[in-house]
Amino acid sequence: MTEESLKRIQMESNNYILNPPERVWNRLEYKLDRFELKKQEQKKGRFINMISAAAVIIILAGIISLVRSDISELSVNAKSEILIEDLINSEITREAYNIHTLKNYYEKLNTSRFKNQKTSIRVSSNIQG
Amino acid sequence: MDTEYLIKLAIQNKRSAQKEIYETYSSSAYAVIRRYIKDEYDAEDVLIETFMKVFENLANFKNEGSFEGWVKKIAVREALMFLRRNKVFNMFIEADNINISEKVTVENYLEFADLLKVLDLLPVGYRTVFNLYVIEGYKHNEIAEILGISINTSKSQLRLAKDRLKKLVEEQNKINTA
Repeated sequence: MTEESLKRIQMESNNYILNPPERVWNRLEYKLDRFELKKQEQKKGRFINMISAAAVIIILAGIISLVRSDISELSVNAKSEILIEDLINSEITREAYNIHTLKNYYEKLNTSRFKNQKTSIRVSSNIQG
Repeated sequence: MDTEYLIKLAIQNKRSAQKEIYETYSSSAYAVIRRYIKDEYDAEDVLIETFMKVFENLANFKNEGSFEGWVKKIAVREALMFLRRNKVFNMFIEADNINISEKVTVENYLEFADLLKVLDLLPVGYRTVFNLYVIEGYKHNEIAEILGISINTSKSQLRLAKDRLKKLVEEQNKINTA
């Protein structure tokens, strides 16, 4: 084939038109409608997904904040327990405890001594009387 | 209504604008598709797919080239995709294995509509490469890339297509003159 004839084919091809049957537009319109519907459904679905995701995030945040406050409370309690424990077992407390006990002991001792004296006095008076 | 305004309306999903675009450009797109696809019903399917792609991608169209050219390009791509999907390409003959004369002349030319019918008689591989090279103006390396074949295969298909076309046109002329 000569270059000329090929060029002619090219030119005529570019200008050539062929009318498609009428039914093609109807099929295309139906497909466009379905495509539009699908797009809208996708949009709706995306919106629902976004809302549910937001709800899940809010719920999770609530749960996390609750758990965190419980944990901090627990840790405060645990800390004070440890402090008390430490205080009880510390040397100063033990000393204070010991002094206290000692004081009590002497007080008791004194009272019992006094009682004994009283008793002895009473006894002695009885003897005299 | 000018094309730019029509495109704007079609992007906004105005059905009347979409219909006008279809009515204006469907004939040239259909002619392109029919050059690649013999079957009328298959060509209709490809035309629908072409316009679906056109409307989906209207926002991407830059007013740099002609809108008709853009639609035709999509039509060619869709036709090729159809051929690929249906695996109708049969291009196994390499250029090294054939011996065909390049000098082919067809003086007494047929009417173009008749020529199209003759093109329809070519095997899919020949016809596709012929269309892409002669009519669409692609280079062999581009055709090779588009169709996923070697450059030699593209060249051989074109030579075979020209030879077959020459024979078919001569036969047609004989019938017409008889």
